[in-house]
Amino acid sequence: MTVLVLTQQLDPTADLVIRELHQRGIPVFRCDPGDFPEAVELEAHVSVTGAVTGVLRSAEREVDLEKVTSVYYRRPTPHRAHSRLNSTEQTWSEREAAAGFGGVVTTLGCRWVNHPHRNMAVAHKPHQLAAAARAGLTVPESLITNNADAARDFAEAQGKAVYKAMTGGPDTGGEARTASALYTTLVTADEITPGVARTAHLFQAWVDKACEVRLTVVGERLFAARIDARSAKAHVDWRADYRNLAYSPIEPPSGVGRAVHRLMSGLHLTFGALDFVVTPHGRWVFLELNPNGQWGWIQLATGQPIAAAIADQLQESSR
Amino acid sequence: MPLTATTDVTPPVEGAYRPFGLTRCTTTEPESGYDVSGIDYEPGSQMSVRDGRPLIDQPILGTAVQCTVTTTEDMQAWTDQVTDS
Repeated sequence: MTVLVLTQQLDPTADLVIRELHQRGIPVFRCDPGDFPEAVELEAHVSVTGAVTGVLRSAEREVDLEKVTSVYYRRPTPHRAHSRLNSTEQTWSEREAAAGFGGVVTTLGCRWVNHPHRNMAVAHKPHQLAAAARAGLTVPESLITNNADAARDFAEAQGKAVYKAMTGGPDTGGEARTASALYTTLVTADEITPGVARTAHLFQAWVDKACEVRLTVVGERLFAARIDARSAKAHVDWRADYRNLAYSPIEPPSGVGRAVHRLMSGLHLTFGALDFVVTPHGRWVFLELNPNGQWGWIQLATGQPIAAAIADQLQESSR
Repeated sequence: MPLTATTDVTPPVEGAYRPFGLTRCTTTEPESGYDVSGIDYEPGSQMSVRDGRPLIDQPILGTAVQCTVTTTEDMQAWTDQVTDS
């Protein structure tokens, strides 16, 4: 039995899980897919029966693919081609690497937390909102449009509306190709310009909030952390002002819990980081689901044993 | 959709990312970078260490972990500030 952890080298969140696995005596093979092909080797055979066998090898260790019983898919980086290739060759090398490495690991018949294809399927906010509502969660009225008039009409009708980027902000450029953070913005109709036509924009009704909740789901376990904003900026989007937040464990209403389980089951996800607003009347309103969201700081702030719960899932073998 | 005389193609305010269809957006403090000095990867434990001890066993206030775009998809990038327990 071996747990394959796919993540970048500096990932303290993954370290929390790896330590749990070490303490349980469960072998771990940690690998950043970005190190393939230059620092990681793959030898995989696909037999005529569809069996996938072979090895994955780093400088320090190797793992028999048949012994991989679960995969923790955390923060892998893009494949990096040899620096001496020209740009055309690098692009091609990286594309082939993604097809080969990704094609092999994603076909391993084992438990995933979460399978990247499942993450991709639920990556988009409109999909999440619709799925959440169908599962029985309350969601804000939402408009996705590239029509400025429709956007203004919506903002007028809602009285108080927000804009949310669906994929973060523009790339910051450089090697990391990191999307810049672009936080929730309160918006009035007269602040909406014809530039809406340039792409899809997500507008939502503002939800009055007593507090917000980050609900981390690991299998059947729910870890809800109440987040209280202590600044105006944090009140609009708590991610915009981490220094002015307070955290405490909170129990979700039973109806919310059941709906969350229906949602996760319907989306075939084992892990999820869900964001809720709790209204002054105590109603939990679903905002979004990140199938690969951060959780390490929540555990450190609240003491909730999220790493242990993830290790529990990885320890269960499906082979 | 063809551009018209009323189409707004004003580029974003320099130094700030503004949505195409808004006159403003929520701005954040410029990132000052993350203090990752002295953090190494230990192949034996397959974890990060600093001063020879596991990073996760040490106070790491002020060290942020940046979510990067993954090989497949990420929801949104935000800094993950890990605080003392």
